[in-house]
Amino acid sequence: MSQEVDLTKVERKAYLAYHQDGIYDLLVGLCFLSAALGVVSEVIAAGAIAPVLAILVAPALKKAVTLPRLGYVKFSPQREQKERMNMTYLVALLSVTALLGMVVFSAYSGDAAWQLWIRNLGIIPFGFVLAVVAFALGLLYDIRRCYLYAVVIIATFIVGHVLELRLWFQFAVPGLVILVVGLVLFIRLITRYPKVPAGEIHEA
Amino acid sequence: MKPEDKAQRDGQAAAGIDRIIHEPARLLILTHLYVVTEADFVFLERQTGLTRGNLSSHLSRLEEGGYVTVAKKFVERVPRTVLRLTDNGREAFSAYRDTIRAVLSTKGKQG
Repeated sequence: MSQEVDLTKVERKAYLAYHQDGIYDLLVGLCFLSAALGVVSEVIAAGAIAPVLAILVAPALKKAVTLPRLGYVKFSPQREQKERMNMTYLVALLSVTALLGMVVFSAYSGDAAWQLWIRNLGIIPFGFVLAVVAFALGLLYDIRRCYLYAVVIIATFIVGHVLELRLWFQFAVPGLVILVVGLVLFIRLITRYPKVPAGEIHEA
Repeated sequence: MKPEDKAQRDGQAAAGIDRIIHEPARLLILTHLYVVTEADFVFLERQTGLTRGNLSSHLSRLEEGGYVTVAKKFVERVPRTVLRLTDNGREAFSAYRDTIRAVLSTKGKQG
């Protein structure tokens, strides 16, 4: 052996394998697209229902698609503690995001200088918040493609505002990008790792 | 230190290498089990890239050596073979890493 076994890399690779199935990407992409559809059709519920459905469906999909293909693993207590911390950070971030959302929303109920300034930014603050969430997910869970999503989201929202494009555009473009990436990952998982038949008992 | 003393020391370090662990496929299996609490057969198959037969035979060897425990259970009526490093296995793997480090550091200095 010419080099020491890098245990951190092995653990990271095993952990990340479970985030390379594209399921969350597909669902998030669909959420963006349903938001675009909601804007076009002026049925706000279309955009609001999708995230709720995604949250309900995601664990079942993971269980039905990913687990039989990648196998079962219980990570180390250190990893589990890190996961709990990440979840805490994420909840804190989403709380701050909700607070910021309320601030942005309140900008439409007065004519103070800061309210006018926010109003002039159009929907960019909303895109900024979404990009921050994507960036934080990349940072916390070590999923690098989330950085790409953050860049695409903020760039699309800025371009859409500057060029005065229709609102659905700002949701449809990131939605398509995320959906396509998710689809590629999903197809790769399905083709590379065929499902192990449920009745097959492995003798060791 | 005389060259013959150094060679003897290197030989002793190399002699301390655990032969069961010092096999690429088994080392790969133990490395993956070392970084997790437990995993099933499919997980190891995917992560190590070993064939089922190969993985199965190496796991048997590790189980015989007392490094790994194999538990077969049913989760929601689906069979699952759960593998876990024993305390002995964990200690042996740590000792193996130390031994390899020692061997490589002493041999490396000879250029």
